[in-house]
Amino acid sequence: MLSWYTLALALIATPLAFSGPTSISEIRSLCNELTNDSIKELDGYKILKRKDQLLIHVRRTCEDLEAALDSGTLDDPSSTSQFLDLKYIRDSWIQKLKFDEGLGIIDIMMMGASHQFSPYFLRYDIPDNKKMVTDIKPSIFWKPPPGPREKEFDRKAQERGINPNFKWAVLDELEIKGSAPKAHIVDINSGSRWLIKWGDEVNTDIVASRIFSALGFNTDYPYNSKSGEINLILGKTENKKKRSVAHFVKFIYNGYQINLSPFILNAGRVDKATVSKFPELAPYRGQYYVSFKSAAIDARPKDELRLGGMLSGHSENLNHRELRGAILALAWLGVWDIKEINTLLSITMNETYETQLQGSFSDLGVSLGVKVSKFPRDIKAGLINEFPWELVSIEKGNVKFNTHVNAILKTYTSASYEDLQWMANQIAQIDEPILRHCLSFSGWPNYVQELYLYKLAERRKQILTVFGIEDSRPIVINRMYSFRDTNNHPVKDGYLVEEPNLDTYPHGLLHEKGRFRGFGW
Amino acid sequence: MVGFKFILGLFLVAQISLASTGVEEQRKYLVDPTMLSGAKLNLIEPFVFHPHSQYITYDIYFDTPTWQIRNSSHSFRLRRVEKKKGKWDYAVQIKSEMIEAGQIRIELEYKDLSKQKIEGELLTDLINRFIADEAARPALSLKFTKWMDRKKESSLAPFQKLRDLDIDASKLRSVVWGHSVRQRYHVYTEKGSLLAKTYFIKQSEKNVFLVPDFFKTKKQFIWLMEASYDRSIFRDALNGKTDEWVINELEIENKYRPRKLGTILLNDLEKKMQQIWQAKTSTRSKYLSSSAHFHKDEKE
Repeated sequence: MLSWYTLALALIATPLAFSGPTSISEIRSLCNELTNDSIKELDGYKILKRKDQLLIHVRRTCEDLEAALDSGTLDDPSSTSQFLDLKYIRDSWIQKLKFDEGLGIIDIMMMGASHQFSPYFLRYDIPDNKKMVTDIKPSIFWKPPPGPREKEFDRKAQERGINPNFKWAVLDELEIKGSAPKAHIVDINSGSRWLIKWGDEVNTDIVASRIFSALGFNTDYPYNSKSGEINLILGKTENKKKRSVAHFVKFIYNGYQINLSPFILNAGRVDKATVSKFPELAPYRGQYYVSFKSAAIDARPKDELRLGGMLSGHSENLNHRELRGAILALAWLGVWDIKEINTLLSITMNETYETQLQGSFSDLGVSLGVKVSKFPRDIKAGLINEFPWELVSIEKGNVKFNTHVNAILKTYTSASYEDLQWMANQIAQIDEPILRHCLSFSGWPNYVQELYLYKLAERRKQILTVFGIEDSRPIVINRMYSFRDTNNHPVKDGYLVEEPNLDTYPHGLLHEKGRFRGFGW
Repeated sequence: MVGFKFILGLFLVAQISLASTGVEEQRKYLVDPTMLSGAKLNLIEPFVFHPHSQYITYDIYFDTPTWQIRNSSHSFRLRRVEKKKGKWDYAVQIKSEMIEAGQIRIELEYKDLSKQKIEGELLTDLINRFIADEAARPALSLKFTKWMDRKKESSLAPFQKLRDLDIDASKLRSVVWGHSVRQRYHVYTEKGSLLAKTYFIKQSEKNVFLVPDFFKTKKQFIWLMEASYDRSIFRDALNGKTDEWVINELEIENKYRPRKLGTILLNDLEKKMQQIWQAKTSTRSKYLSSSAHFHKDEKE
């Protein structure tokens, strides 16, 4: 049984082989596939529209390669690298097209198998002769933060013009992908686009993304939206047919089998009085709006084209220490959903139409204490009692992680001790103020943040010990942390024992009913 | 289940209507320039033409010796446009002709010409010289043909379209060229105007993010259309004919949503323009008009 799973997992983990361009006709054929709108299908997947970022970036690269042909430099490493980038884009795009078609039963079975056997794969030899870990060059995936690490997430967000402080948004498009309920919304004042999500990831994704950003990786830009912070208008213009709150709730239920009602704080209609208070609402007069007790918003900048995964599509990626070593950071935060599609290759474009490829760790929300249930099938993240104090140990000359993941990826299984040690050095830079800062954006009650701080600090300490790194910024850990106020005693001896107010945390921080059981509603 | 399908249908309709906003309904008219000057511009009330920007374009049109581009109802050009004084943008473009009035024209272009070279010379420099230096034009035309030959298998959208049309880009040569002064207008009517009352016109359902700032601050105006008036002069680039071909055309694009009511308003405006401005409906592009003028004896 084990060998069958091993073979299957090894097969899915094997990346495609790459070689350099053999001829200009091969380059032109690839360029044409990626840019010619009269080609409506790629590897059997239908293509509705090619976006500007893709067309501009690919055509520019193709023209550079045409210029290289003219100057006789087509075989130079820089041209080969550009050709591999084009193949990388194609591969990632195909991944996205495949993912958009939905997960099949085989994919779900493979996730289950990976979950079961991941501890077997996530073990790494300790070499007899440990090499000195050297610095690595910045890449499209990782850069050493130029300023304070705790501010890296906000610095990058500001650079991209992302501003999460808005009060009114309009529903643009309902999403039916994935297992967590979500919808596309637009800030009515700035026109900036966001994905709004509900459920167990509204706290975890925020913390995990900020810590990953502090480690130097690119991430998405998720923010916890506090109770009533955003009013979501359900219809686009004054004259458009009115969408009622009931329609909206019904759509989410039909798409995700999750009742959104317990997440709703308030509902209303944009009337004369509302317009006189908020004149910018004039175009939406008569439409219904709704606000939420708990949600998260995730930036979808207009200048960014999101392709698919970033790990396997480029032969060079297996040589990137920061990608191989990332498994240690993922394990530290207990990220379970590490499927390649939860990484992101994107093309960004600035105001002067300059484009660049960027690789990010996206969708880190299924983390920080994940409970997977087979019967009944369910999953829930952000369960602090499911986030173990113990992460890593040394057994028979191997470093072994006490964690489960839903995919076995070659990038991570090929990590060396040195790769993990390099990552451990980055984790050593994440001290108590940085962790506290990242947790402060979570939206969790302070006592839950405090308990997470101790657990993250304990797991960090174990990492540094196993990889022989001196901790220059040790964190005092209280494994028996308790918290009591006048009426309640929610944390006892390192365990959350009382459910925080369900009005503020409708998805629940203690009970284990997750997205496939409607969060218990 | 029926309920779900109904709701899904509602959202799909909303999404499809959003997705289709990139496609516009356009009409063309031949109008004397004096009609759009001063007080005469106001005679078309309750439609209001509000001028908001002006720019100059230079176009060099290309075709094969057997006029395959013209015959396939397309035009193919190198364009230089001056939107801001002293700042030029360049593009290579292919555009389909309007066979019937109101038909949608498709335009494909590539704008990033700054690095394109022909025998070591920048394409953009050659375009500038072509515009400025009459004597150099025949030699420059040959260089353009060389560039077309070099690009015929490339991923640039206009060349991809030529391949789809089975037209050999290496056969292209410049046939006419000219410049146009383009005046752009917002066309609107006021809330409460006779027009608004007649058709019960409410504020447009156009996606608010695609509405010009002008209308965001002036809520009493209802944005109906966008108009461009081109005063163009074209010349022959093939046989050295020295006469000039003048084209004065007005292009109007429906911007109102629901689109159907916008079409009715466009019909209304058309009638008014025919009566007051003596506007004549046209389907001919500037390329078709000028190439037919200079090379009328050659089979269209």
